[in-house]
Amino acid sequence: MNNNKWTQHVYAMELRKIITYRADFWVNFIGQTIFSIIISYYLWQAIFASQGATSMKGFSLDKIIFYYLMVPIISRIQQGEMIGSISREIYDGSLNKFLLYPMNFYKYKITTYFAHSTFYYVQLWLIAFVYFLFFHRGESFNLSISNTLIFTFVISISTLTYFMLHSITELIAFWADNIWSLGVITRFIVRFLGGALIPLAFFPEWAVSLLYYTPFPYLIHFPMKVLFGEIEYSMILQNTFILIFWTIFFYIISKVIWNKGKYSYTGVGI
Amino acid sequence: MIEVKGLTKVFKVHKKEPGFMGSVKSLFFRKHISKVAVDNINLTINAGEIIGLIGANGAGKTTLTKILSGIIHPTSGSVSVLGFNPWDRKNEYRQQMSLIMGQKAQLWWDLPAMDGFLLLKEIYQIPENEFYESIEYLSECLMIKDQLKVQVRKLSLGERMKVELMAALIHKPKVVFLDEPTIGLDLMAQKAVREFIKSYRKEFNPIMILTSHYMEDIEELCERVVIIKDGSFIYDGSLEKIKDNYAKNKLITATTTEEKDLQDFKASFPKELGEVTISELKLEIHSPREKVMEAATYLMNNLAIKDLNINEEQISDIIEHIMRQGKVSEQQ
Repeated sequence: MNNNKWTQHVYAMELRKIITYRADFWVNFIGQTIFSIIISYYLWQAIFASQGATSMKGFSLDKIIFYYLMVPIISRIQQGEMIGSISREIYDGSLNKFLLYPMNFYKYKITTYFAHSTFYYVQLWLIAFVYFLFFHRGESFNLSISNTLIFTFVISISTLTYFMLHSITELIAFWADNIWSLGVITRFIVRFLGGALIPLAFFPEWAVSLLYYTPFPYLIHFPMKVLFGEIEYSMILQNTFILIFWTIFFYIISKVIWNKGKYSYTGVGI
Repeated sequence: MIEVKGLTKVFKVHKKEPGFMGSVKSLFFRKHISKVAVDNINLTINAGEIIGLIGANGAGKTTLTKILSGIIHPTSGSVSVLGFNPWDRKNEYRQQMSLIMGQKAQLWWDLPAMDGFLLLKEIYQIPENEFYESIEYLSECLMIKDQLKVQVRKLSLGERMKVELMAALIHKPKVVFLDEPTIGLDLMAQKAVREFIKSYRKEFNPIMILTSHYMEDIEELCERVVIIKDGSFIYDGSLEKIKDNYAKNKLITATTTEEKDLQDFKASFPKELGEVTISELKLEIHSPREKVMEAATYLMNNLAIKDLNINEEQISDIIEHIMRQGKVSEQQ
């Protein structure tokens, strides 16, 4: 079907659904943000004090706190829907919908996924706004409009990359009775190796050069570099192509699993 | 038109022994057992025909419906529905087909039914005026107009079934699979759904396959029935023929004025004249057709009878009898 107008409907419907559960949304938002600030502030203040330095590996205290404010939300943008968003449909038989209605499963899921991402994207700038209003001292770094625009573009692609990876772990549910831990582990690996827990600048050099053969640095480390304006345009272009490569790579694996899995799907009940 | 040849579906399920040790064991070793859900089935359904699919739980009805609608893949055999192979899941096929499962909601739970319909309008690409005409017609027939703006999860079971029916028929499908559409509904709602299906059929004449445990559904809606047992068809033919061929008995119901001798009467009743059941002052005799007058005469001669009726046996009794008996051919 060429007409994709239905995806707009799905997108709007999903946004409405998210707003319906707004209490959960704000608790999650405020809770996580406050925790990130407190933990990163005290931890890194102590580290900076013990080293007696004002800057470490290109990070001032100011900048690293901003980093730790942004990164959890970037992860959330990329991780759109919760673990279980696809596997649950396989387990309880809701997947039938996608097999019965003349619509594409991936298109549908990507649309709902991006609806969630949109919301987190709004959160991201809310937090950044609050930071710049009250906490920013302006010495160590600044954001330019062009960088934030490129950042937005890069984040959208990386969200698609992550969606494809997410779909692989979720589709394992065709065979496994529970994929929750697989989802949790994947998330942890992406966060850790992507630089969400500790910036990659603090990783040993050999590890970083190895990591560049994996998709992980392109998911979190790379967009942050773009945001800080620490990367040349030619490198942005190159990295974007690498991200697209990984997206296609994961899509192919996901599609193979989907094609095999649909033979095992029982639609619940005999 | 639907054509099914040599259709077989075998499910592989893993067996887990009960208890904690069983779970630990299954971490390392898994025993798989094969369950034949559908066994070498052949079936032809013509345009506009409605068939009733009857069978006990686990007989293979739902599996067959799922294969025909393209949700699951068969192990072997071929299926053609409107010229399509269902599990190719071509959009052209899915545009013309619909499946309603009484036990499984398909509409979006968190949203009002109308929102779901509007999305389906885009998915099926239904023109604006046609869409609102359908909504008007369906909601009118099902008497559910006021509930379309309520979240699906907040509807009663009967109301939910009605909006599910609407969702399934909004694009005027040519093939409709109804898997227990009246399950769990109260008698009024069951009747309303049946009446609706009847009028819908009159209006649009789609192929319909109906599975139900309620004989009223089958009797009122289907001219042809297929009885399935352990994955195989044991009867495929008209409902009328079932009555003609299998209704070997007639049912005599009688009320007597004397209570005391009923057990004696039952004991002394000649076996060849039929089988007697008693509840308080009422008697029921399932008597062979050719002996029915004889049985009635015997009854009147031996008991003081206040009231007496002779009727055809209930279709549900006949089908239960066939299911117990196993494979039969139509000519039998």
